[in-house]
Amino acid sequence: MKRYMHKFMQDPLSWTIIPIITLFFTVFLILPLSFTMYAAFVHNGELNLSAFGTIFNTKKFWDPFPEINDSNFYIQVIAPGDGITTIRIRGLDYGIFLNTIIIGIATTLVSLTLGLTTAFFMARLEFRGKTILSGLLLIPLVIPPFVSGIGYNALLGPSGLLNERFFIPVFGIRLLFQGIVAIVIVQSLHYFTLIYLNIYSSLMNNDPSLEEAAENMGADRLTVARSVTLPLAMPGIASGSILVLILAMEDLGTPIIFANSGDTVAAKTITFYIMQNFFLGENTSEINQITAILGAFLLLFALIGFYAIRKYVSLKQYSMVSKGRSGKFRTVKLGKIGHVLIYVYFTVLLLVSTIPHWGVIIISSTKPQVWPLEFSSENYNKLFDFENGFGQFIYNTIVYSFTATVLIVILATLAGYVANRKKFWGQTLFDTLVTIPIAIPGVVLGIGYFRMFGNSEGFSIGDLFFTLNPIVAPSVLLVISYTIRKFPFTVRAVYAGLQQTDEVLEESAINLGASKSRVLWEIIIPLIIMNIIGGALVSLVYNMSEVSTTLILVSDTSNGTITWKMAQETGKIAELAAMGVFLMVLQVISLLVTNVLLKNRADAISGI
Amino acid sequence: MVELKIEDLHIFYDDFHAVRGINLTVNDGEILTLLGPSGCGKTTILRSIAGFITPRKGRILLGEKDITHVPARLRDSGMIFQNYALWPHMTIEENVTYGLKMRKVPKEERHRKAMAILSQVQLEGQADKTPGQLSGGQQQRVALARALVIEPTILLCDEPLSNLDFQLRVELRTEIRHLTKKLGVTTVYVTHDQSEALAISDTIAVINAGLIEQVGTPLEVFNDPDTLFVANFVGENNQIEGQVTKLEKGLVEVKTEGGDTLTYTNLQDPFMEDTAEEGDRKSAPKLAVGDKVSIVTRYDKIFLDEKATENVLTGTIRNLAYMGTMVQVVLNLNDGSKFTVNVSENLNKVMGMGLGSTVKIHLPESACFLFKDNLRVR
Amino acid sequence: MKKITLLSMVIILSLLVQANTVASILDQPSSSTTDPQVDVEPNADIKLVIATRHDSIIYNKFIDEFVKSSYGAAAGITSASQVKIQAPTTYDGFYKVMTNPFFEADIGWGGGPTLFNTLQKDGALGKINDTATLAAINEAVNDTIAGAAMKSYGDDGELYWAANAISSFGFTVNHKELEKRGLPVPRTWEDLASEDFFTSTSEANIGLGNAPDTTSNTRVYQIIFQKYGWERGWQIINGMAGNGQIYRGSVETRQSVISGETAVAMTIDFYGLIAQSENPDTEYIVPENASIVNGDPMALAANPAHPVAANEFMKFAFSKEGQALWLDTKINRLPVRPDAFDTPLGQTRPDIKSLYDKTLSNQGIQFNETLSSSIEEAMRYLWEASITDVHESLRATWGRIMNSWKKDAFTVNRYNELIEAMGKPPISMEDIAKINDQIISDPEFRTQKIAEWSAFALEKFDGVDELRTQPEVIGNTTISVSSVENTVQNVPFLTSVSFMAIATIGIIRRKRNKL
Repeated sequence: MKRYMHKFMQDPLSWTIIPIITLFFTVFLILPLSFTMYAAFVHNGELNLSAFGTIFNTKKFWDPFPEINDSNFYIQVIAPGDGITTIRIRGLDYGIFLNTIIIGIATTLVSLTLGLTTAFFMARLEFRGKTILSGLLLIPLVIPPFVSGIGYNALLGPSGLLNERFFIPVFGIRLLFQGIVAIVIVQSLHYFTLIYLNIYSSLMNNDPSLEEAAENMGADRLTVARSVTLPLAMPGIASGSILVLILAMEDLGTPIIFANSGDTVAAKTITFYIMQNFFLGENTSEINQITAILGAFLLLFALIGFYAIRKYVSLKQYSMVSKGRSGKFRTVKLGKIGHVLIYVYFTVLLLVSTIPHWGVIIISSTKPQVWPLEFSSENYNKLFDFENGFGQFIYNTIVYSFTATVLIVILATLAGYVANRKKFWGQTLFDTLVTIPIAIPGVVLGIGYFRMFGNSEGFSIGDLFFTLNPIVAPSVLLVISYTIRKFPFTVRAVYAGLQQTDEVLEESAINLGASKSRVLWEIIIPLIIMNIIGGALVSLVYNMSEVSTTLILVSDTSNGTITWKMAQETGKIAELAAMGVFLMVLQVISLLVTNVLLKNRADAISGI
Repeated sequence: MVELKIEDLHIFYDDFHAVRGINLTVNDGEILTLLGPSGCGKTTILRSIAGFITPRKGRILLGEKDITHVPARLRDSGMIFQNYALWPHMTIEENVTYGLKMRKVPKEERHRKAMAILSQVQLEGQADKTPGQLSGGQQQRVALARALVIEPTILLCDEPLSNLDFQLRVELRTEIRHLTKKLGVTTVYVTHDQSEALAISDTIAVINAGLIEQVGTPLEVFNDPDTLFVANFVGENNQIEGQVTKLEKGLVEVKTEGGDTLTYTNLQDPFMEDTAEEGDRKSAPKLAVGDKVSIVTRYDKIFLDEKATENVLTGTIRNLAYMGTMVQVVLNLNDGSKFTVNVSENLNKVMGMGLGSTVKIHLPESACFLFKDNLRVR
Repeated sequence: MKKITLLSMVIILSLLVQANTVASILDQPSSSTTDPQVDVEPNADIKLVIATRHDSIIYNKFIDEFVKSSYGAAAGITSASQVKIQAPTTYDGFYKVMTNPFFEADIGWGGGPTLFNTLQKDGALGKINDTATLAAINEAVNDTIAGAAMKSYGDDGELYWAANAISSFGFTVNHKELEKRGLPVPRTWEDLASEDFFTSTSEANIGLGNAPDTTSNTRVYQIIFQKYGWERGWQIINGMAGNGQIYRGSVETRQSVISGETAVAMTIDFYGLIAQSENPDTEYIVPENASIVNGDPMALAANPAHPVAANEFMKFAFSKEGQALWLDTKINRLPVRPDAFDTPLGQTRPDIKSLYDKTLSNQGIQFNETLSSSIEEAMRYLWEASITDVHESLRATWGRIMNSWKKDAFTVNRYNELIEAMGKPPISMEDIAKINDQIISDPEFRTQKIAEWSAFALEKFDGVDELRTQPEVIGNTTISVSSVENTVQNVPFLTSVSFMAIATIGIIRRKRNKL
């Protein structure tokens, strides 16, 4: 006992922080997830494995070889004799389970193609306007997925601008993207930037002499790219792709937008199903076992993905074998034709990937059903109106997000410092604990929270602490869920800062008599304050546009956030778009500030 | 086997004139070293030979062929990099055979050649390892093998030993010279380490600020520097300033800033014409009374001699360092400047001298190099 | 210097906000006026606790006025901060709040008769026996309106809940769209299922809410079943779905007719009123003799913590002035008490008054609440399985029937046969009542049943298609369907696959070449 007291006194800061944070994460992350797993296996208090079988036997969930019919097709052309021809591009429905997997994979592949090509162009080609372009390429990232769906719908939806004002009058055709195709399009246009940033960072960190050596050996540019550049960029490629895979599969916002406007295939995704079929029935708070099983699978995929990323990131030492750089990169200077081609590529890419942005801006600032477009700010006037408008939601969003972010900053700085500097048993576990939330699908955590804190059968912690009971008062749990889910961004930023800070700075202070907490407060924090702020900003912005746990935990207007409100009134596109633009502006501001502070570190922004 | 010829090479980085008119010839089978401080342009010249940089003006000829604008990968040069540049995701054998693969050499022959060259660098048995599993010295040997296995027309070495510790450097520079001589490969070698240059080269070109200071054998460069820069760069040197006070046929008298007088009778043509050209310097400027000159002496070519009378400097001992085979005596001259003498005899006696004691330093005429405006006065 | 300023700004801002939050979070969703800045210390003396499913706009308004009224004074409540709101979202939560002394709940308000009947059965409600309160209620509310119960008595003869507002169920039309599409103004459900409301397979004229996602639309379907019977009910529903589009919630359904995406949408009355206020081209219609009136209850908690205040609030809510609050332009609901329209506020809403009159004069159907509860859950999943999940096929099949019928491809007999075949449910009402409980409690069983029902529906549509193309024999003549109008073409699998394969290969090659 004395030994432990002694050890404690040596470093009271760390030995207080570690248990507190571990406890926090255990109670609000590990346990709820275990409850989800539990709910997946148990029904009515008994172990029930046949539910797994039911899922795989039901076409609604598992339909690997779907029959093509009026509901299930790739492309459908409806051509009535008179009137508008409707062309629906949809993609098949493979059942809820497979749909989600396919969406994830498809989005990843498309994002990978776009991101890889773009990263290569930006890293290895030289052409005018590159600096402006690198800023422009961040734009797709600043639109939260939910808003993205709204904007997309506004332009390309069934009654969107393009259909109403262009396709129908000119061609007499209504072009519809639905189902898996629509979701993949909207998601890819947003997520490819993440992959691009990751790969770009990888490419720029490569040792240029490795490529020069290959060229010296007689390889032409393509061969160099294929045999040297690409393999060495694998860590960036892999981690970016896996991240997108996880995010695409756990995305709730995009399916909601499409499902709520009548797209039945879009509704057949795991996240949407979980949201709609949360409870077993109107009168109970027991979690539907099927829902829990789907959630468990989602969680499993995410965890596997996370593990794979960590393995690849540790392989990043790959490119550290060759130390030092012997010059800049061998870039290809583009001639006139090259310039034209590149500009065409990027123009198309940017135009297409900013469709949602345009959609949202146009629809929120113009009068509806009026052509040619007339501007009006009525939707924006509603923004801050507390009585009629969205003031309440903006207020709630800001309150919840800020509170969560403040919590994050405090806890993450302490946790980051301790985890990074102190060697203790379980350090890797601790580190994993605080960074894994990024892979945890929000809906799954929501299930866990309900099961753990709001369960009606038997005992639940929520009975002891009503503030934590989501059925009664979701706001506290919501803030906690924000804190947990966006923790990794700030932690990563803190790590990055600490990496750049030499340990000797602390050691000299300790040598002069400072306690560890003094060192933290007076030496470390001032040195890494920029990183902390940058990380906090990223966390804050993601908090503000969080969708999944919000939709699951909140059901009353008074607790609603911006995203919550958007999900309730998916039809009122114009007003939602105004809120969406507001969120976008916030994201842009924070991205700019983060850029300046963190100098565009891809890992801080993406949180891996 | 071919000779490499560089004619009037000018290279710019944006507006910065990095290489300002270089003319060089490397004979077949010769090892030429480009020696100079960081930023002097030596690496730039090397990389332009490799084809990674295009000169703004000038030509590079390999044999009869003008390769100035030929793409890097078609120049048939083998390059070794400072950081080895071994591909970490390939095995040693894959690294070595990469160039052969590019030359469409069939598989069995590639393997055979790789094994052969690896045994030449004493790395047989490592073929299946990855670079991360080898030490720095081993990695550099792999790099050497990779460059040589393709039997290149010319071998280019970009400070290949700078990242290694002293022992390895000494060991490897011998190996490199041995192998290249054995294979008869024309080599251009870049380094900032003068002892390395002296050990490894047939010819040394000393480069400073984009211009050649001197081209010559190691002996010439070491013992007969053309310019003040070369004199200071090679070997361990003292430099003192003085002014010409007397000028007669066969006699030059210089008064140092410290007040000592030095006379030189071994200068051949103090009245010769100034024939310096840009890019290619020849020494032999004209002297006149009142000219400012610099005198450079090697630490180990001068002596402490109480009995000396001519060409003597006086100084007080500032520091004594016993180095094993010699004692390094650091002195303050009359004007307060530092002066170092490496004494290799009567070490005990020298060590016994107290700090602050006054001594006399004798500068034999043969040990002094005189320079006016950076050019050597002969 | 700039960095420090930035930092201090961020810190100060977050501290300010955080202070605010701590206050508001500790003090759970509290009643607030229009200014959501919570100006209450965590320990203000709460004198009344209301559990409600109503929107904040509603309860805020009522509380604000209550506080200003004599009733509030009588209860000793002078500030809105003394009233606390609980907003449980499930039955379970509601039950907990109403019964667990921790919450000190006094009143339960809003959520529909079904919810309150169950609460009453489970003993979560307290008897209303204060004389003054009873008098106020009886003055305001009759026992029934249009045949529907407005009060609930227990076996002990005591009053447990009374309706504080009423609503009916019908549909909202968009006149402009009706005109544009050449559709008549519908009067009842059958109209919506008829060929008059079919224009083309690619145009949805009617908006329906997916049953599991909306209680109000479910109510509509229950009404249809009880009015027309189980089999005919399904025929009508299939017809409406064939003519329309399914939405995932009552708000989305409502929005579809406001935006003009559909011409008619199923709505509860006050959603219709909201639609009218947002788009004057819309109008809520109570279907003739085919609706019911729901009373939205108010009740006492089993053991109210502040009985005096509770009763005062009840009296207020049933008073003329209290009732008039339902007519607020942001609330738009029907009060239960007719003389609410005589108040100054009430007189500003002639539109609601006319709806009120219509509602009362409409002969509602006899609605069997027990019956509807006995099949409700199972019916909702059946609805989703046989309508929403197979909607495209439903529409395509229906479209083929309609198009052929418009071209007189068969006789009325055949037409009726087709309608009947189209609407055939996979299970009878009695049988579905038997499995209702299991559907609720056993998710596996539920999933299996849903799969069964969807498969049944798809087969059913195939059968309908077959039937439609079968030639009819009438007497000595044979009528056959002229060339099948296949307005729906599914680009064949091979074409799609080849297209995608070529595209993929193209992409891969492009990627390789770019490198």
